[in-house]
Amino acid sequence: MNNSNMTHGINYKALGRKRESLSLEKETICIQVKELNLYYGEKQALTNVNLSIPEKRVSAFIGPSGCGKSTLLRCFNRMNDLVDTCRIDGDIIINAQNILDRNVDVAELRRRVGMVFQKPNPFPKSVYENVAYGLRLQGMKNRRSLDEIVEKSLRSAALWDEVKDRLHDNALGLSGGQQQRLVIARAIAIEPEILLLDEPASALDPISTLKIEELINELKNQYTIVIVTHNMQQAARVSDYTAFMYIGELVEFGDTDKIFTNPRKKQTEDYITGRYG
Amino acid sequence: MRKTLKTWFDSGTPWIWLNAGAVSLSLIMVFGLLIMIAVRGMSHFWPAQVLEFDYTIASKFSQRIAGEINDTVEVSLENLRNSGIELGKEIQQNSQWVTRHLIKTGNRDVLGSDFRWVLAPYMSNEHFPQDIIVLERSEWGNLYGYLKAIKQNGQIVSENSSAWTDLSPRLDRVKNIQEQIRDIEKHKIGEINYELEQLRLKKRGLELDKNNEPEILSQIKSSEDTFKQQFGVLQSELAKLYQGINRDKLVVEIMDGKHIEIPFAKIVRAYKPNDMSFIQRIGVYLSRAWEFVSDDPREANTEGGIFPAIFGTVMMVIIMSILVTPFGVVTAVYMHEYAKQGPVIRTIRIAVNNLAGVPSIVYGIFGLGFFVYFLGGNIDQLFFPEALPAPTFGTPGILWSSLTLAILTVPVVIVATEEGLSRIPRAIREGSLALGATKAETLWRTVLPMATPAMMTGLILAVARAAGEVAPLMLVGVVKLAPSLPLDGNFPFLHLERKFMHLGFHIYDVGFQSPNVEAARPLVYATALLLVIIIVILNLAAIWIRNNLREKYKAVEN
Amino acid sequence: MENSDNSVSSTPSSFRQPKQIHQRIRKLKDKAARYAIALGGISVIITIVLIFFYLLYVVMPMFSGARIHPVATYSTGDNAGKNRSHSLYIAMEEQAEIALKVTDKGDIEFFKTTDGKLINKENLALEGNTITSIAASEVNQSVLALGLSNGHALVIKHEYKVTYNDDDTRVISPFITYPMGEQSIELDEQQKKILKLAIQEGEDAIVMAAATEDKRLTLITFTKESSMLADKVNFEREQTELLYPESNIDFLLIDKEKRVLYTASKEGRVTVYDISEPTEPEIIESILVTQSSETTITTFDFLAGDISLLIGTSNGKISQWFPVRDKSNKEQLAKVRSFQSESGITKVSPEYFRKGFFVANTKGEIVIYHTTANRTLLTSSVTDNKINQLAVSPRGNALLVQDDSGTFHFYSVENEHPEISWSALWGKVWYESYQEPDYVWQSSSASNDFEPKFSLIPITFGTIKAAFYAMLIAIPVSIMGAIFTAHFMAPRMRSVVKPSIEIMEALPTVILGFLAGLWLAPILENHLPGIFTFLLIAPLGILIFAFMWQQLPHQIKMFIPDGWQAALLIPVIIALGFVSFSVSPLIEQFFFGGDVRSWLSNEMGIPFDQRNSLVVGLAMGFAVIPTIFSITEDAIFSVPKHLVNGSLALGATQWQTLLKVVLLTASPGIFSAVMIGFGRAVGETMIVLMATGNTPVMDFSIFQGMRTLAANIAVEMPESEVDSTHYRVLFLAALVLFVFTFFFNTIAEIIRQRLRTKYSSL
Repeated sequence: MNNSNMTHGINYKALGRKRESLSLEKETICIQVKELNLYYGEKQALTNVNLSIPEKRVSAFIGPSGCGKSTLLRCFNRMNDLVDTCRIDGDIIINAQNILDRNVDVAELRRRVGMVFQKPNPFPKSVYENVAYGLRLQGMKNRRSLDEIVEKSLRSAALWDEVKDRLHDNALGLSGGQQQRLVIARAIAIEPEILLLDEPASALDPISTLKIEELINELKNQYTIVIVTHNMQQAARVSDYTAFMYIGELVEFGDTDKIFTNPRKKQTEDYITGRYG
Repeated sequence: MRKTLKTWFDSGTPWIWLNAGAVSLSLIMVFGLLIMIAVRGMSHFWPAQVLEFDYTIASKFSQRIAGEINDTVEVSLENLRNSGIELGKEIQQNSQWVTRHLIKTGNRDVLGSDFRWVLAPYMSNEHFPQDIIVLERSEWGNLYGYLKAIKQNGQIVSENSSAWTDLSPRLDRVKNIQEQIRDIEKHKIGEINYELEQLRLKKRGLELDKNNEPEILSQIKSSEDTFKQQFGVLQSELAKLYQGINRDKLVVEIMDGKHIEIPFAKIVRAYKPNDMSFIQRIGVYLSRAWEFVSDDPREANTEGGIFPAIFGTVMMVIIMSILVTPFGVVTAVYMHEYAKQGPVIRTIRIAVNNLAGVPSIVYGIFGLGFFVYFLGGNIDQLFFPEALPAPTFGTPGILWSSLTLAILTVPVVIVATEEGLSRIPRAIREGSLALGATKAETLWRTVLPMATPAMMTGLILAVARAAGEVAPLMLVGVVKLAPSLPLDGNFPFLHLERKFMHLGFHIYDVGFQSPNVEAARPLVYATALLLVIIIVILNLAAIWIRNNLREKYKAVEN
Repeated sequence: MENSDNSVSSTPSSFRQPKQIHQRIRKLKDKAARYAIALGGISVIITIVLIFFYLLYVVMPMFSGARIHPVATYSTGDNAGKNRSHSLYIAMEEQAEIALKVTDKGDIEFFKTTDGKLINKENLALEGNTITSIAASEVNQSVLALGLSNGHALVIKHEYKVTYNDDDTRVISPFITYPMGEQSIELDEQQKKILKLAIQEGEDAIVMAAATEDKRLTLITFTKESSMLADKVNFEREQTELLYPESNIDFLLIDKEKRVLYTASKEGRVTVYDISEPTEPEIIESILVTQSSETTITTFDFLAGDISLLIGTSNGKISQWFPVRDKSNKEQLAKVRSFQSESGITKVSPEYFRKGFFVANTKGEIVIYHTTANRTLLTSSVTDNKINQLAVSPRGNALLVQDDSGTFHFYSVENEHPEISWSALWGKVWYESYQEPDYVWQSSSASNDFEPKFSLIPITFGTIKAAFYAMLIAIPVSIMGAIFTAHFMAPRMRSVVKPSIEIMEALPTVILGFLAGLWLAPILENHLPGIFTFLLIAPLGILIFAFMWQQLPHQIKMFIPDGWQAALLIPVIIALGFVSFSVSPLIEQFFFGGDVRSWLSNEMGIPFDQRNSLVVGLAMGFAVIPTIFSITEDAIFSVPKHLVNGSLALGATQWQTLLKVVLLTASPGIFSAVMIGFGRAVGETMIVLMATGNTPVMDFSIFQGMRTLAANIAVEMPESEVDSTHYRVLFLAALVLFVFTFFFNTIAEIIRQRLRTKYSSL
């Protein structure tokens, strides 16, 4: 996305958002990243990343494309395992455990660290089955409780009213925005602790984007949310904390207001003012 | 504006037309071939009119001939003279050409062959006699002639026109008795023979084990006696039936005026070809077509039905599918989902791809050497020593054929399934994993259901290929005439070691190895038609599924 | 916020050990699936690899040499002291359990081969005479003749009766019979010592030749006259004096057909007599078979079948000679091949049913050779002494040697496939009774001592010939068709054309073969000029039609838009075909005197088979067209559109764009299509089997048939005996096919994958 016409500083008041003053030191830490290095074959994709992500807050990763923000996000539920050539050093601590440990049950980790992808990826099944998918994996068979949780999740994802009459239609028939909210509903149905959103609105139209953003605001009361976005306005709108990454390194992490109004690093300021992108 | 030839050539348009011509030629070949097989195959069952005429060769020697015109060609007089045929004055000597007909005269038992060539100019007094009859016989092929009388126990009971009305009830009676005989011979006696053979093997097995327990031996002996007794009863029953079946005879006058007697038992079907309504013709047509697909072959496979061949083909293909589907799918899943994608798996992928191009006869020879002689031989040593030296599994059979074809077609299934797997967007897999599914769950719940149409396509293509494959089967299990089907009422019902008949091999065998190729040819066309229909339908199904599949993935991708 | 009551994360739990049973089962299932799938996948891959290795495993034994294993060493009889007897002849029976020894004292001893234990001994009635010569008939007859010092000869036959004991053990009892009576018969009326003797027994006669000390050579024929009443056989004797050769007679042989008599002197002079008319024998030729005067002939024997002579010399050379017809149809002995052993040859023993032979030399070595394969299978030292006697068992699986000290050495022999060598498979081989070395495939015959001819060249040639003619027809049609379909055809028509041609690929080849053999072949035979006329007028007719179409007014042309030319041409081509076939008889009448076939064979000297390469080319071309078509079409169709548009935007015509851009880009794909098509044509079995006569001729004529590797397997495999050489050679043919097609397909596949990456980067 072209950021060249953006001006320095964003007026949050104009976005209609009330903000309290935040401070990382006061937060409970949910995810702690220590000395993380990641390689794709010979190529290093992440270098010495140290980061503490606070609990029940929205943290956003921004940075130019290819800077490693998605890669970092995918480390949190070990989605990078799927890449054969990927190699990781360092620690990521969630709930006092290093999730990069070999004997971590990846399936269990992923259940508790949910993820929503850039493009909506509903399964070619019914809406209901999409939401119930994770629950069925957990061995839930009781129809009544399934119904309940499906409804609750769809409501949480602000989708219930739109799909309640066609729960058993194929999910592929939904619009892109609906599909993305369905995917979010699917993710929260299994009650994760952390929700990772990988550019969740990039494939959507502005109205759907707005809905997703509203949803994120709603959800942060219950979940620790980490969102990757290349849309800085979106980061500014939805996040409490922002990390700026550049060529595999974490440049700066802190209160979103501060990052956007008063970045400490020159690189951050250059990016935010649109010198490169 | 008119183009000149030169600019026209320079524009390249002629070459485009020539390329178009290549397409047209291919299409003509495909559809021409299909239409030809269809026409020839289907016309086989149609009761043709029978022409009668006088044939006078060079005004010297005259005879009466009746038969169906099978083929008509123009030949040059030169050729005729060269082949030593005497030309009489009926043939206009100034013309170069003369018409020649191939007449199916039938009556092979009298005339020595079913067909003869006649020259049109020698023919005279051509007509279609109303009351000529065609008798399809279980021996010696068709008989053309006039029905003169029906004899019961040697006494004439009806003559001329009344004989015709008398014929059909008597034929039905004989058919009925034949049904009973067949039931006894094939099922009851077959069963007893099978049981006796089992007892013999059991005894031999005991001998090999040096087990001489008198109790078991006497048990075997007593059951043997019971079976033999039953056999005796059936034999006397049969004798009675045979007596009944030989009661009636037909007297037919053939073209040279001779009268010949034909027992009803030898008659398959009788009709008056020139005195039939269209509906009656269709009746005969359908009855012959039904006989073709449901009956056993007669006369060294050149007549009758091809039911055992259909059955064998289907059976073999089913066993093959049961073998090839799981293995093909599992291999594709392994290669696509589990194996590390490196040079090794790339090499294997190329190798698997290429195996589809390895000549089928190579698989045949592998199947013969490895499955039949090596595996089968060892199985016999281990499990069926009592039957040796007669091999049980150490000889070509339906199991080995199915296995060989399974190996031959497994690349097809692998390639199709892998293609299906690779069409499934990565996002679907990630979505499932991100919900905490294990890899196996992801596969089982999302990936494989989405790849099902691709697997189906692969399987259908594999089946289509297997159904038409003949060369390897000639080595590993197909025979021209199998004594019994691989599936019957005797335990264990499915006899995987038996040899079987196959449509494709039937075509090869009847078309090339049969003593009476000319007579068998229409049947071969009909068999070919059946095989083509099966294969075209299978392929169309595969194409249809594949196209639908693409539509479906488009929806997922967007 | 931290105190939110529905917080899930407030209960930290471990990711490591799933507590619930359900979770454990899930993990277990995942693991089980992983292993099961890997196992299944790998096993299928292994099976696929197994095909290659199994073929190799069956083929390999053909190329290993022979092996011999010592079984026993012993002495028999009275071989000590001055009075010791010498063996004149030794032999073994079928099972190699019992051996026979004939001594110079006239004793015939049968003994066990494994320990030398005497079983049976018979003393011949020599009546005070001494044995001066011995001759053996063709090995399977087991007849021996002993020449005596009084001009007489004694004919004996050693036979073996096989019985079985109660416990199924085999007992072989040897005995001697006298085909011409127990008394010796007089060969020479002058009663001179018989120095050399030769004998052959046949169903109707026994023929003997005797050379006496006073340099006379006599041929005596005893014709059998068996009377119906008595068992006794009477002989009618006929005697002819032969012209004594210009040199000495040191060796004397009669072939088993009793047509030729050979004499040879130590100095190397061989004289050949035609004795097919026993009363009028004549000398055919007399030649010198050694090169230098220093070497002398030490052995002179027939190879199995009595056609070839094996001549061994004192310098260790052994050469094979047989009569070859020259241009004037005269038979002359020719040296075919020779083998070299370390030292002078002392004894040669041919195998009974194969064209191999065993040689013993002065150094005590045994060497096994095979003539057809031109191969030395084994050289092995069995004793330190000179070897005097040598016998091979009839099955070729045992060897008995007696050395100078009288000691016997008994060996078992493993020599399964002597007749195969690289040169026998792929080189020109001079077979017995052939005029010159040649490539021949002839795997079996009724006769026992038949020389199998396993040259793979004629059938490999046939394979390539069939594929060549098929490609000749398939390549132009399929590639041109693919170009039009991919580049010019209207999408709606394309959606019909592509599946149609794909269905063509699925048609069982047995149907194509059947139609080719029984429908197409007679049509082509009768309308030969028609097919060539069609090849000529079809392109011309299309061009003329196209030009005329171009001239039509727009209103008419509008009905058929561009891209439907192919549909338009269908009736045109059918009409052209009809025209060419109807003028065919006229052409035949006009130019070829009414019959092309006789014109071809009489005027041009080109033999014409009904089932010929043209039929195969058309039928197999038909089978290959869809393969090449669909791959080529894919390659052309997936050339990125922006390339085409770029070229068109530069003002190039459609045709120029196609030539300069599309075909150039797609050319690797087209190449690989051709390769895959070729691979298919090479391996096709049923079409060739049914559409040709399957004669392994080496002739490139389009009017003659061929036999291909694949068809050869299909024809001969069912009759071949398991693990025989023939069986293994057929496996070798399959291996050749496999490697050949695999190689071509791999190249094609690699090219295709490269092309795919190229397209995606464009």
